[in-house]
Amino acid sequence: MSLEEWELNVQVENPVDLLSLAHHGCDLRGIYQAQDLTDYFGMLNGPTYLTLVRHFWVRAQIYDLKASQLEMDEKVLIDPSLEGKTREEMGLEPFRREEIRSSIMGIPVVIHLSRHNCWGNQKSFRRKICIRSEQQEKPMDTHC
Amino acid sequence: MRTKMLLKIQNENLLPKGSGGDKPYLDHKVFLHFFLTRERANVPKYIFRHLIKNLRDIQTIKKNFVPYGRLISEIFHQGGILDALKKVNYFTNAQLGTVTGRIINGATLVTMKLIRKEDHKELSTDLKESSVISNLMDDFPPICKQDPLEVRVMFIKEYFEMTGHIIKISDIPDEMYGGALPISKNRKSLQRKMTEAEYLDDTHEFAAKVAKNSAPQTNPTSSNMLILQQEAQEADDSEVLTKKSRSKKQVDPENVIEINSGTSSSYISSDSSELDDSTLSLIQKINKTP
Repeated sequence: MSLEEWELNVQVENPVDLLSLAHHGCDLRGIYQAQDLTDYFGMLNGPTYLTLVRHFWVRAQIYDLKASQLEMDEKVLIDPSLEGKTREEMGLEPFRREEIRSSIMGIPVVIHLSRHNCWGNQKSFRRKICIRSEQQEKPMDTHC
Repeated sequence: MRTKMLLKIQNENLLPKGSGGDKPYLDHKVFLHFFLTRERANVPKYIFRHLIKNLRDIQTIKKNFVPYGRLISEIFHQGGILDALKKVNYFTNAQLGTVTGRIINGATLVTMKLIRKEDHKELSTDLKESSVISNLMDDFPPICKQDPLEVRVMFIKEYFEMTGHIIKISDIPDEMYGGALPISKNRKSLQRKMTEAEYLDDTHEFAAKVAKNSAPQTNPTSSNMLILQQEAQEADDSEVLTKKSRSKKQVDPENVIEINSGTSSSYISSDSSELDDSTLSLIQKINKTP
């Protein structure tokens, strides 16, 4: 059994009106401010492109440690002399992080977490969801 | 009350659950703990992990649930994919299946039976659905061909007076881009599986819906134009009526009421001979311009 593109149910996030909730005695603003999520909730009120999301999702692949190991094994199968060598020596990119790889209308799209320093000189780092398409890296401003 | 609301927001926005009961999973409980104790949690990491978990589910157990529709759309927008599509200038909202989510506000508290109906009050600051109709369209005239002819003419006239630019009639879109955005379906209707034919026909349905929506409740700016138009009509009403009686045509009482109430100007727009001389000459000028 395989899933088709039109069978996918896309869940659309519901925008939250924190001000209205606060007026009715349910103040959650402080809680989300402590987690730096107010920008994320601001972002939620916008259009969702169902077709693009479905298109992205059916083509999505997880690239994790297991997938990278498989990649190396394939190389060894083709050329047994490569066994025991590192990824760089095999001509592969070093494995850095887990990624979701897909494409939209032929444009490669990669979603991954990235460390992003948004505290100036402070030492603490935060993670962000990042996108790389057409060899560009752009951090998302869902937080910060 | 706060915890229930937090869990609801979590179930729908932060760690969306496709189906099943309302019993929270371990991740949800951990999140609630972090939030209530105001301890900083690495929310993006949880979101990404949840995304990967759902992607694995779709590949292994064929679960047809896609979380974070809006987040992924935003990533496309910020990653420049929408810009690339815009350059092609081929895709419309209907083809992209654009929807927005329902808004969680005081009314949700009433439906969750956390507050009484009498206590609920609508505020002027209440969140409205995003006015950003689509990131695909930068600027477009807030009129469409479904608007009455007079509205279009008046808009072009005023726009010309204000800016000195002429909008060509051929540039006016057939229907309002986006119009009132359709709201995403609720959970019950999501349970029904979509068939191939429905999916392929989706664009046509959307277009029809958009057409229906945009006809009665057009864009705010064009509705302003309508109001302006109504004022102009009311002023000219007496003249129009006398002209009508002179030409010994039967005056339909319903049409007269329509003109007075100003809900529709189909009566006037269908009969272009009633237009002012100045507007007629303007139309001719516009049509002549290459």
